[in-house]
Amino acid sequence: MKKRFAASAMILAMSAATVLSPLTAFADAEEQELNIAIFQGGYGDAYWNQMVELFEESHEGVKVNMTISPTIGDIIRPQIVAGNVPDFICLNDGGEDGVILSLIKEHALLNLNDVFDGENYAGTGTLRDDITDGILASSKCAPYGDGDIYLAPFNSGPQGLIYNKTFFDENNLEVPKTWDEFFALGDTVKDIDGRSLFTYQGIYPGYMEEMLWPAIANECGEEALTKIANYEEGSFNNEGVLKALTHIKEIADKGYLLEGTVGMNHTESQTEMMLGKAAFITNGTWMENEMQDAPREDRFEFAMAPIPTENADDVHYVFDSCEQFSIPAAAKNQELAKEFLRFLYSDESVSAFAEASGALYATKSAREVAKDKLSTAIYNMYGIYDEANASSLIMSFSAVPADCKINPKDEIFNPITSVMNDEMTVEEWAQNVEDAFAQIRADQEAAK
Amino acid sequence: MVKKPKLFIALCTLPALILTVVFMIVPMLNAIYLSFTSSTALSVGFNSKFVFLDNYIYMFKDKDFVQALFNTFKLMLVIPALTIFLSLVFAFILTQGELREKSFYRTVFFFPSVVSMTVVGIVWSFVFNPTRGILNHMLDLFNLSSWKHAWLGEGKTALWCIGAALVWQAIGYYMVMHVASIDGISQEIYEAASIDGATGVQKFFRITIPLLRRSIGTTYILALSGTINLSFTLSNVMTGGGPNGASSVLLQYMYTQGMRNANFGYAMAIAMFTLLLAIVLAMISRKLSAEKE
Repeated sequence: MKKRFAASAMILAMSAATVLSPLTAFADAEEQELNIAIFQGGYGDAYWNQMVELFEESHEGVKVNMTISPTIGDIIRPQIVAGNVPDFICLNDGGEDGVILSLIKEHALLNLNDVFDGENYAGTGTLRDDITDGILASSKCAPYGDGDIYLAPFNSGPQGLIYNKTFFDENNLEVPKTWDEFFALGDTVKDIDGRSLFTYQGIYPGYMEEMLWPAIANECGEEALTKIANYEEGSFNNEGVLKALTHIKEIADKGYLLEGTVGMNHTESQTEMMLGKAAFITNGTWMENEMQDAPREDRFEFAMAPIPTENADDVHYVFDSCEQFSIPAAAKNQELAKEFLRFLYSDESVSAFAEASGALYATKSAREVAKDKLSTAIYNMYGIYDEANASSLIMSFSAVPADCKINPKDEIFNPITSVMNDEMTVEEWAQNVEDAFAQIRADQEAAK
Repeated sequence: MVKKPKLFIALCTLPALILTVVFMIVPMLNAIYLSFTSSTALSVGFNSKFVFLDNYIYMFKDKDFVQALFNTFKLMLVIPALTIFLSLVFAFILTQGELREKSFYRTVFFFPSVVSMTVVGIVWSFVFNPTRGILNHMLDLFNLSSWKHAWLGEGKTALWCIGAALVWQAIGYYMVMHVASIDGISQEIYEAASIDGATGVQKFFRITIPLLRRSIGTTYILALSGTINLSFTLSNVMTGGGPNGASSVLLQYMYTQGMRNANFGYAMAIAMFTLLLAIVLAMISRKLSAEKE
C-alpha cells in the first residue's frame, strides 16, 4: 500500500514538473543566468563562493550557477561537446585535461579585446592599463601571436627556488647568485647536516620550467624565448641553450640532486624538502597554501630565491606563473560573462582573493591593494621582484595547429628525468626538441 | 507441447540489445569513423577534416607511439605467461597441497581482483617510493643498499614495476579459474601417479598442465587482453607514462593524445590499432592451443 502510494506520488510529481516547467521558464525570463565553470586548485573555493555572492548582490536579477571542481575540465568537456557551453571558464591552457588547449586550437574562444580596451570596473581608466605589463601581449593571453586577446590573466606570481629562511639565517648562508656559488653551496649544506642541494617534482618534470626558462634567458637573452615559443629553427639546439641545459644536468652529475627525486611526485618531493632533506626546490608562491598540513623541520620559514645566473651582476629573470580566464565563443550570455570578468579585476575582488588564497591578481596595484591581507611568507616570496636586477619573465608557446600531434612542453620537459638519470645527453635532448619543432613547423605549413 | 513464447523472449532481450547497440556498437563505429579524421577533443567529428589514412601513417613515424608499442609488446611477452604460470602453481598447491588454511589463502589471493585498479596503482606507488617505500627499506635491511633504485623514476625499471603490479593483481583471479578446472580432474589420476612415485613437481608438469591446456589457452587470452587494458590504468596512476615515455603503453599514449593534446582522431586511430592487435594476437594464441589438441 505504502509502495503504491509512493509510486503514484512520484508519477504525479513528474507530470506536474513536465506541465509546470514552461511556466517556471517564463517566470525566469526576466532573470539572467550566468553559468561559470571554475577550476578548484590549491587556492580552495572560499574566494569563488564570495565572488558569486557579491556579483549577484551588485547585479540585480542575475543568477550565477557555479560548477567548481579540481577536475572541472573533465566535467565541462562533454557539456561543450553537447553544445551546453559554460559562459565563463577559469582553467589554464596547460591543464592535464587539455580542454582550454582544444578551445584554443579550434579558435573557439571569444575575442576579449573590447573588455581590456573598455573601462575598468571602477570606471577610472581602461582595464588594459591596470594589468601587469607584458602579460596581455604574451601568448598566455594572445595565443595566436597577433596581439588579439583570447585569454584573460587571473593570478600571477613569481616562481623560483623555495628555501627555508631559518636554515639559511642560522648557518649564515648566502642565497647563491651564480651557478658556481650555487654548486659551492651544495658542498656547504652537505657538510652542515647532509642535506642535498636541490630536488624537484620528479615524475612531473614540467615544474622545471621555473628553472629552465630563466636559465635560457640568462644565457641567450629574453628574445631567445620568443624564438623558442614560435618553434624557430635552431632556437633550441644552440650554444647558449646547451649551456643552460648543461647546468641542469650538472645538478645530478655532480651529486647535488636529492637521491630518489626522479621517482617522487610533487607532494613527496616538496615534503622531503620541507623536512630538510634538500635546500632548494623549484616552486611558486602557492606552496605555502598547498603544503599547509605537511610536516616540516623546526621553524621552517618560506622564502624564494631567483635561479642562478652565469655572472653575479646579470639580470635575474624570475619566471611568472599566470593562470587564465576565458569565455567560449559559443557562450550564450557573453555580455554578462564580460561584465563578470571586469568585476573580477575590481579592488574588492583582488583584495578578497589575496585574503582567501594568499595570491595576487595580475594587476599593477594588486600588491598595494592587498598589502595587509597577505601572510608574511607570501609577502616575502613576492618580494623576490624587489631584489636588485630581478626581472619578471613570461613564457608560453604559441598555439600549434589543430591537427598537430606534438605537445611542445612534453617534448622539452619529459626528457629531464632521462637527463638526470644520465640516460640521455644534453645534445640529444636539444636535438629531440629541434626535431619536434621541425614537425610542428611542417604541420603549420600544412595547415596554411 | 507448449508453444514457446517467442514474442515475449524477443521483448525480454530488447533492453539488452538496445543498450549494446547504443553503448557499444554505435560508439565503436563512431570511433572507426573518427580515426580517419583530424577531430579534436571538442569538435568530435562535426567540423573536422576527413584525412583518410594520415593518422595511421603518422603513427609509425611517431617515436612516442613506437616506444609505447614496444613497451606494450614487452609487457605482453612477459606478463601473461608469468601470471598464468604463477596462478597455476598457486592453484595446484591449494588443491593438491595439504594446507589447512586453504580457504584463507584463496580469499587473500583473490582480494586484489576486487580492489579498484587505481587503488592497486596507488598502493604499489607507495611500495616503490624511493625514500619511504617498503621495497627500498627491505633492501636496506638485507644490506643490499646498492640495489636501491628510484624505481618509478628510472627508464630501466619503471615499466617492470608496472608489470609487477599487473601480475600481483591478476594472479588471484586466474588462480580461482584454475582451481575450478583442477577440481575437474579426477583425483584418481593423481593418486595413481603418487603410487607410481611421482613427486609434486612431476604431477604439476605431467598431469595438471597437459590436462588443463584448454582452459590455460582461454585464461592466457584473457590475461593478454587484461595486460593491454589494465596496464593503461597502472601506467597512468603510477608513472603517467614516464620517465620520458619509458613506461607508456598504447592506451596510455592514446589517452595522452586524445585528452591532453586534443587529437581525438589520432587517438581513435591508436585505439583501432590496439584493437586489431588484440584480435590478431588472440586469434594466433587460439590457433596455437587448438593445434596441440
